[in-house]
Amino acid sequence: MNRTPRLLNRMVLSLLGLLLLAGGLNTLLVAISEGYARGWRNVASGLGAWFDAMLAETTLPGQKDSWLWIVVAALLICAILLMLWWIAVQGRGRGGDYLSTYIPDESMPGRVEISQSTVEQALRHFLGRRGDVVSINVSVWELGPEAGLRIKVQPRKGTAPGALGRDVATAARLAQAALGVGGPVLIYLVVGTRSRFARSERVL
Amino acid sequence: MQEQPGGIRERELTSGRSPAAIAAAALVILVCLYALFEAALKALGQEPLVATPETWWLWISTLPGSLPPAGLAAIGLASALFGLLLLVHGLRRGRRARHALACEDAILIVDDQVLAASLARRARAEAGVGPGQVLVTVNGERVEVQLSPTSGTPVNPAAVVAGLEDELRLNLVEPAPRVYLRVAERGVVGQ
Repeated sequence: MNRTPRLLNRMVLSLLGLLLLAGGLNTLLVAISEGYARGWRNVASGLGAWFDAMLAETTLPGQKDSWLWIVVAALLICAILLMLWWIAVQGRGRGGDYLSTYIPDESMPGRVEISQSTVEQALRHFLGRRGDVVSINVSVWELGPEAGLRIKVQPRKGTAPGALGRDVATAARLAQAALGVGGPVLIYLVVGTRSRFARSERVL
Repeated sequence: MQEQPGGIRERELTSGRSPAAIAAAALVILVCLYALFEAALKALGQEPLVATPETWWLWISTLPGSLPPAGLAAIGLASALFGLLLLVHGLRRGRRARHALACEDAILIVDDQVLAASLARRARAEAGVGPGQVLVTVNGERVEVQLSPTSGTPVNPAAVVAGLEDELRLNLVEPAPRVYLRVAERGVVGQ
């Protein structure tokens, strides 16, 4: 339910991969084929001459170096900042409160906030005592227009996941109805350390 | 930021490539920092750390230069393979070991190990064997079951497969995986 920019991840990864692949293949061919190496030196000297001409053209009178180097440095700084942003947006989207609305009531206006633990308590209440669940963990995720609930359930080993998951879904909908909110619900049945080591049956 | 249930389900079932993205970004940052450092040293008129940009370009444009061809080929091969790895990461779907179950009220996602444990329980019940005699692995659209029957008690494979398919149907796994059952030829001492 997070807001990792998946398409961007894949596009940038593919682009970097293509660049590295092209560079690596070029190096490999230069190393193993004499003719290709000669061709590469021709192309590279052409490129170098073109870049030197451009540097000479962009050098202001009275200065030692071209102002193009400043542009290059600025572009490098931009690239570094963009990469930092790219790292920072991975896995974003976890919300704090489940609900926070301002109610402009005439006599007593105010804000109502419902925290994530309230939802968890309500869910446990509607689910009741169950022998086939080892642990439940609820997290809130920012999805527009309403927040999403991600309910992580560790069932006991061998529990039929379909029936349990649908029971949890019903309980979650009841809890949402009791709190007066909607929004998507995700139920995720996992194996964890607790469910791995707990006994597979339990007498209630 | 409106997201459809299908989009949320796809997000849970496939990998977002975050680790690869962070690693690639860190690499690019390191390279950019080095280039920036050299450019700054040049602008200040100081000695370069490794080589000036001009020297770098001279090395690159006169490849193979004085480098041994085997070493150069190894460098090229390594970076090409790394690039291919990144490309494959970017283009493949990246399925996680999870399955989606049909559910009206919510999106229901199950770890493959949870599904395998429930199938193993059903297989034990169908075959009448103890724990440790059934091994179930869920791998994409394949469910592989290895069953070691108790010596002297034959097992009906068709009944076990039918039971497992019924279990998959009851849990509404979609799309339903196929069951492949292998019954060991030698029995074991049952519990």
